Amino acid sequence: MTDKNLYELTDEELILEFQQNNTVKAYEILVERYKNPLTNYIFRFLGDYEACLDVVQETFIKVYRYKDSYSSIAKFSTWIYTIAGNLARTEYQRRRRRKFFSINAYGEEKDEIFEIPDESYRPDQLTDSGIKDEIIQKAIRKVSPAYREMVILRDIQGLSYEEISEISGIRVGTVKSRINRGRAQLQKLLEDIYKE
Amino acid sequence: MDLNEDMEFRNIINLLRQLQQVKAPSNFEADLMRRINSEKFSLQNTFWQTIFIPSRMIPAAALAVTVVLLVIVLNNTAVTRENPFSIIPKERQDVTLTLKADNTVPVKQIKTDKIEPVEKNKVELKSAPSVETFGLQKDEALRSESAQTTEGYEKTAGAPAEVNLPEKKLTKPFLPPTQLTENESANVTFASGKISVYPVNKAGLNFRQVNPSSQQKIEINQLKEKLEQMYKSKLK
Repeated sequence: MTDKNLYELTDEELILEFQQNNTVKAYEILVERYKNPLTNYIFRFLGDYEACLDVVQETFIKVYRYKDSYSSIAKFSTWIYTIAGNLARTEYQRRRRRKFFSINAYGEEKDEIFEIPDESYRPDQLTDSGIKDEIIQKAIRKVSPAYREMVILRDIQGLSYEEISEISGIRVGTVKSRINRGRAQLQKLLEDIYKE
Repeated sequence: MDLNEDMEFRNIINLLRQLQQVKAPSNFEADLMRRINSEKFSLQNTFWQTIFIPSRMIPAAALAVTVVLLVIVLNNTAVTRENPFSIIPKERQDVTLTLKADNTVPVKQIKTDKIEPVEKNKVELKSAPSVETFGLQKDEALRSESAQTTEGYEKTAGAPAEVNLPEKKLTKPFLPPTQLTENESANVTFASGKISVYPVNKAGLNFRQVNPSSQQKIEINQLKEKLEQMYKSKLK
């Protein structure tokens, strides 16, 4: 199969090609298609660009290593988002624990909520829209993780409720309620911005 | 419902959709492929292939053998001690003679624990259990090599068992030596000769197990010698 033909294939066909014929080009095309959506999703969840890149790379490595565990019944996007989501949650927990212990070691800020530091934004590089983005990103990070993930997948990534339900492994009704609770929290946090 | 909810949060949804897309760096694929190539992906072994490898089998086998050996050793050395409170005391198998307290009728207790009253004047002590020796007769009984010990009494199974009670034999119920009065005596005939059995008061018998001191042992031995001399002189 030529490279041109490979580009015309769907995600499911590409992973099948990679599974059966070990066509690395098919895998590379999948990476090309999903690297940006996954980076966006993981970054909005973690808030750290470097950590986000690590998680995305780890996701693609898992896809490469465990390609045979993919079943053609499920959508490829659902499968890869599930892997990425699990890795992101693990990374979030790990960073949170590390942050907790490092703060407690100094005996400071015990009562505060420990948030992941966002080092990707630099004031000198920010435009007006960039400042707005930063405020929104900070607000997203303040939403509790269970709601945050749902809101990102729905309102930023544009996935359907059913897809989110499959990715997170919870019922559609629960997904909807979590999304709405997340939105409500965000609304409170971003009152000043969306009134403008 | 979804539309209503979306309308309720339409401002926030619009804000989130307007967010700039965060993109992966241009060298993302190159870094990824470098990481993939640097890692060696070996073929995944099945569960059974990972189980049956020498590095796991040897310790597992050693552990299994140790456990089996321990079980065998512990089973052999285990002492099963019975709770003394749960042991049912053994029934006395010997024949004992007891007296009824009310009418002094001797009662014959048989192995079956069935107590049969013995009629007056029908006591014939010709069988082995009737011969009972005490004190001086003990040595004689031992010499006959057929003595059997039964709680203080000694029963000579092989010895000529004939007890000649005094004249009261037929008129008075049989009294075991312990029940004889001080003036009465029983004559016991052994192969070696006929001797008299002197009454021994039950009250005088000491059933307790005593561990005498060395001084007491010497005294006991002296007493034994005296008794033996008395016994021999009697025989003569």
